[in-house]
Amino acid sequence: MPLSRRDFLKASAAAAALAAATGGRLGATEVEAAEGGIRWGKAPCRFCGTGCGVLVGVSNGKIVATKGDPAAPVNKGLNCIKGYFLSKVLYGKDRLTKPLIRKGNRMVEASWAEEMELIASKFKESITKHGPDSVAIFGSGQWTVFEGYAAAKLFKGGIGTNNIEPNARFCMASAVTGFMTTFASDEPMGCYDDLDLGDTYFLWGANMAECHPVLFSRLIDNRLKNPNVKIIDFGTRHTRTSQMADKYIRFNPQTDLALLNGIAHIIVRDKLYDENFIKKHVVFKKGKTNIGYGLEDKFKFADDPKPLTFDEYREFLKPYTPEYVAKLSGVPAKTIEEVAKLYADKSRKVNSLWTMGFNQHVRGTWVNNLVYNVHLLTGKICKPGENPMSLTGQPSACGTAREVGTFTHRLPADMVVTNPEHRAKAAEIWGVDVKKIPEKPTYHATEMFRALDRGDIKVLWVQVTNPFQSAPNLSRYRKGARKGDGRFVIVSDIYPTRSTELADVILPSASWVEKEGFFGNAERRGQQWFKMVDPPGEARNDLWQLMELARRLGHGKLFPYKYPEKEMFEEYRRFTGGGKDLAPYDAYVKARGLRWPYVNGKETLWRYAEGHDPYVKTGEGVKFYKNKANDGRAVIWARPYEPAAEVPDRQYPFWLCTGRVLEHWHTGTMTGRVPELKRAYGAAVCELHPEDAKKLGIKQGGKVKLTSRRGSIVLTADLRGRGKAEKGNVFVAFFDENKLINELCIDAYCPISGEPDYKKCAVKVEKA
Amino acid sequence: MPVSGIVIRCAPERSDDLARSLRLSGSVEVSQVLDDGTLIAVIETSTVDEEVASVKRLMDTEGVLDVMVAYHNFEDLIDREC
Repeated sequence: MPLSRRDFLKASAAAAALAAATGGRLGATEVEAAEGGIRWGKAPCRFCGTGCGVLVGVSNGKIVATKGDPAAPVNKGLNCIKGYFLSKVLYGKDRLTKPLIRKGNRMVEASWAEEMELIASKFKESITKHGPDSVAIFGSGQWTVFEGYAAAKLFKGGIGTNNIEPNARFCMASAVTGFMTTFASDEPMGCYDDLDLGDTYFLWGANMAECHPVLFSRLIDNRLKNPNVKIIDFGTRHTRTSQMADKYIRFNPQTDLALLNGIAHIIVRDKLYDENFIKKHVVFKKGKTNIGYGLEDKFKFADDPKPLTFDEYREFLKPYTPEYVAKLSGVPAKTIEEVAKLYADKSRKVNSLWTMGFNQHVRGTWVNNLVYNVHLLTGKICKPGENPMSLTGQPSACGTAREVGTFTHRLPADMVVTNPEHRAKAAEIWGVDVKKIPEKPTYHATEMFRALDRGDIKVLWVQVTNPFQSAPNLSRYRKGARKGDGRFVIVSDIYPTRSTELADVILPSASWVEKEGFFGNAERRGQQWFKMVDPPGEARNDLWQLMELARRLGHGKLFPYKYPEKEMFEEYRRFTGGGKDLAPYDAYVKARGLRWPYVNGKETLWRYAEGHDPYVKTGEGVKFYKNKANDGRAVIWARPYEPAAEVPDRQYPFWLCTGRVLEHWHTGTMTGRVPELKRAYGAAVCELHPEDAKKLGIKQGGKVKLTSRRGSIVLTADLRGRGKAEKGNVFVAFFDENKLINELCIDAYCPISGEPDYKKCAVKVEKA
Repeated sequence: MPVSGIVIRCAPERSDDLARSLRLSGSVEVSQVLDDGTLIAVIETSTVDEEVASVKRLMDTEGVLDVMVAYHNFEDLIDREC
């Protein structure tokens, strides 16, 4: 690189960093001086649910630079370390560029016409022989809104099956059912501004420093400016987050249920609750108990809510004394008292933040309910700087999976297939006979893979996700996909994965800025971007693939668009309103995202709050207006502690927890393509406590064998890494395609949400 | 040679020492230390591998709270690596 060009770029780099660090007060003019020949466009980051804004620099048809978007309110010009790889993940050497069809044990190249015709014929054959519920699509919280909407419309309104599920069932379903059962509406009441405005942050099973680094950075920034800010990390594993928190509180797996009830017990015992708030805004309920774990195929559960009085709720809480909870959880009674008092401290602005520790949990819905209980008891909710905040993993689990409703039981905008009025509205907007949209949900994700294994589903299309690496009890579902007997698996992806290797047909797909897109992040912010570069070879975007199948199945009239992305968005927008309002598409083109509900040209930062949410009338203060059945009140649920589906015993004495690390995203299909990341963190390891290791004769870097009732794996032991296992626990990240840790995981799930528990099963640990 | 602009946040009392040691190390050019102790720096290496390694070393340095990337240009690597 010529010296003067290098000097120019270094100056640009320094200026961008200065602008980001100072909120644009300094360095901005230098940044805006265009780096000759580079054209910049905005997009949200491809990776996590934070939804950082990125500016993508293109020259000669290729991405040559990226920078944090200084105009993006989410991250104000800063990206985490994965920002280095945003564009590189598109340029891996083994990028899929041609359609492939399985012939015996080989995948051979084919034309798009040949491939789509084959797929259509398989769909038709299966629908004719076995009915519409024999075909299915498994999509993703990384689908754009257009892709998710098209899939929902085609499958529910065209083919006439509710066999559509997203991988978000594996990550956010419990958050959804938590919201729906407490507030009758999905998604947070607060926003990221709460990270800047609060002073007390309880993190529950959320390694934010690694998994939401930019959001964690905002917490750290807040604490640097305000020494009064406290960050308390509740975890079953010591992480970088724990290191940087003011207090790390280790607890026994599954006992978050007891801890939250214990905190509520103290708040009620000592009358630390906000009596006025409870009187005006809350009802109490209880549901069924001993609700099972979903381990049997076709497991069904229906709750039976019953009203409670406050006194009955108080009675329910009585057993959860600090002493009882301390015995169960391993958290000292004194600490539980301190935490409860901190939660209830009227002088403090308290927030709770969580992700997979709560959601990937056999009682995920319950534990989400329980954290809301604490905020509802104390009235610390729906206020700037003071909210419970469910953090989202994927970039559009909110925007696509949850808001568009790409679940078996859902329609857009919180609507459900079981409601005849909702089906009628969908039929009217989609221009289909209402009888086409089935009224009964079919399978949630785990059950969908069970159905494929049994042969009840014959044809499965997988888009933008890698379930044959990410599903729990993985071996069963991997075998199920290759059982033959009419089964036909289609996988659309950008790289070969552990799912494409099981496919009958592979469709090479476009990714991120290789297509026009729209994501919705964890704070209800929808963000749009334009296509900036072409996908490689013959890769096509997933939306085109869906519309092409629709056309070949005779459902082309569902997609009569000249500009599909914008027209479909405007059509989808007709579902929203009444508190889920989206803005016109052109508004997102101009903005760095907008938070719904968007009403009269204004976004909403705090839902349900007077003065912020346009649906709350003057004088109402707070109104959970979506909960019409409970007169605009939220529900405090009496949910008990119940044990995990599988607990350590003499044969399998350790807890296994799985999760993510900073460097790799999910199953590593993208980040695994970046040589630098492979070198930095190439293989999954087993985090093990040094004392456990010593007893087992295992040294740092030695080989360890983990075995559960479902499978076995050999890994390298890590006794002193960035994440540190507690005694009796091991942790393994699930990004490594050569180490399928999910073969050991149990496919037990929350009976209400259907979300599997990836955080708790029992394993034995041996020196290998 | 890729170039990146980074923002290093550390405990304010550590920032001057950190800036000094980074300037001596040569791998990370500190262009400015802000009043709140934030360091503005540029990394210039032969490969993205080395950039990432530099950032990770920084993240593991005592007193460093976080390291964020503001800008990344890798235009001269595109034809070589893709």
